[in-house]
Amino acid sequence: MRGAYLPNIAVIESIREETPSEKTFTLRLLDGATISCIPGQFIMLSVFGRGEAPFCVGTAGQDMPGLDITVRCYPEGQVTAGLHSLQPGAYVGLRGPFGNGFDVDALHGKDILFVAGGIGLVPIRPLIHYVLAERNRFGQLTLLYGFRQPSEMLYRDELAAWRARDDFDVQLTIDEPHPDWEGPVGVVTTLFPDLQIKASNTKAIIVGPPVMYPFVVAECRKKGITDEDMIFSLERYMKCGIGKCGHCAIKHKYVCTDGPVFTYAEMREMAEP
Amino acid sequence: MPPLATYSLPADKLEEVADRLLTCADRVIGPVRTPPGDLFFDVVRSVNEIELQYGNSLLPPTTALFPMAEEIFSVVGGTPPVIRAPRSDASCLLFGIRPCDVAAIQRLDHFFLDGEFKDDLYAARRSRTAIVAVACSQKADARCFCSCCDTGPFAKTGYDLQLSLVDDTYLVEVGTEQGRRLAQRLSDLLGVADDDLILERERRAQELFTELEQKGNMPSAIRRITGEAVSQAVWERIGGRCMGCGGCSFVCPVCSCFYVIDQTLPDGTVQRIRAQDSCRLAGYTREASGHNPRALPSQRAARYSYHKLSYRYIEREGTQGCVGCGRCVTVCLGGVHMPAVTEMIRREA
Repeated sequence: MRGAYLPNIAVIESIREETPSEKTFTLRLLDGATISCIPGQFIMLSVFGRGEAPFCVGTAGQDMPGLDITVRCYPEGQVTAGLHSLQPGAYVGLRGPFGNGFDVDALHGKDILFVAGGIGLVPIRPLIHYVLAERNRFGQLTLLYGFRQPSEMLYRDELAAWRARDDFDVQLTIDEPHPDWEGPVGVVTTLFPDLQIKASNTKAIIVGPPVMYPFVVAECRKKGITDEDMIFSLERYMKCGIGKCGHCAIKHKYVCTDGPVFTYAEMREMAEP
Repeated sequence: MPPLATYSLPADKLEEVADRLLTCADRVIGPVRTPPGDLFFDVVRSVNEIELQYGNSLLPPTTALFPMAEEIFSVVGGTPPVIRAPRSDASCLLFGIRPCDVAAIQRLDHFFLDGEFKDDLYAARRSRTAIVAVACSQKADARCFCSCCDTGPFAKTGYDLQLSLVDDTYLVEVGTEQGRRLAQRLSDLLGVADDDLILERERRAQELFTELEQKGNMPSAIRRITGEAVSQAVWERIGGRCMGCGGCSFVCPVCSCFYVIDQTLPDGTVQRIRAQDSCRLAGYTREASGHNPRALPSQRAARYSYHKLSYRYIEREGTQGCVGCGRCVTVCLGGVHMPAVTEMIRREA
């Protein structure tokens, strides 16, 4: 067995430009190696010479030859900027997957309300794939997806396919008016008042920038969704992924091994001074 | 846990013991004084370099197991790259470390080796390391406070061999099978430890224990941090005095955080290095986007204390994150080291 800190080598098979600052990289492991992931888990990706950073898995499944990750480029970020400069055929390192992922069994039979802000759609996407693949095991499905401006919309083709379905209510909103946009305008919480949900049977899956969370929690509570039924995927700076480097700890929890998926009831206990 | 065996050793035979132990491992690391007068745990080449009467070394001996910096692996070639893990089979014997540092190693063992994931780098070093502790027969240092952490003046467990000086005799305790093998190498020097010797060591330890600092701040701080009863004002006062240098973490034998960087060597080889890190540094939680969930010194002060003293972590790691060695007292420029912080928290109550 390889040591926990030693990556496997993967090759970048293809790169898709999602937005001006986000790309989706399709990675394939070498030598027939496979990877099995649950939606909501993450991998540690190495750009050799630049470093290693956590990215949530964009595809989930058993014994996959590789997977997708969608990464926003930050000019200050060693790994994100390094990765964005690579071309198909380049080699990267891959460790994992790590983390708990979404408890998909607990979602069976439930109505699901996905709430995504900006790049928060990335960890939610593999869960949507899972739910749609097993559509009859779930009740009403809703996605509320907010982003700043039309050019920042991720996964355009997939969103179009989801919107075309009559068993998936997909609502999009942008933060401020834009000439290319005819849909709703306002942050994602402005979509809540008109929402028709049965709170007692609803699980909310919420991922976005931390600034969004208090507002979404307040709206979910107004609808009657309990703190136990609000499910988040958190993000922290990480160096190891296995609970050793210390960076991602919040209170007594490690985002990497206890999370990154937490209910709001758990997050209340994790509030720091 | 009672020792597996006990022996007596005439005090004047200690040098002979150290000399024989020098041949028991590829490297023996012990307390050595450098010419300018600083004490380090360093490789011992001859017995007369060892100094057992030392005020605690600034850097802890735990660096033999969790170095300040070490290579995780290197990457050579490019199509495809090949990962090379560092290899070292060298055995190590830690000689003359104090009970507080023994307690720190026990906590590191639990943290790095138990649970879902094992730290391979620590595990490789630890499996080849023997510990010969020397118990404190007097207060080692003006700054230490093992009495507040229940980690001294002698170790109850965690050592392979432990030597405790009682007048002109050492009580030699064997803690493990590895310790038993070491004791066999010394068998002609060792005598029977009679009950009197064991009881006398116990009595003196008790005596020393009561002499040591007993302010009761530590349990009070543990209780108040766990109960989230420490006011924002206290964290701000501590944060306001903290220089954010990370010194307390770098000298702490218990602190285990690390960061990871890649460095490219002139020949193109990429080395991935891990180096000790501190939650007191502003960049510790800063993300590539610039977002920093712990942007304020008060938040970082609260984190440091929470990790070390909250019962939620004591539950997780088995012991509190402070062994009372007093090194942070030496190094903290702002005077907000562990004893000061626990006192500030208690005084507020």
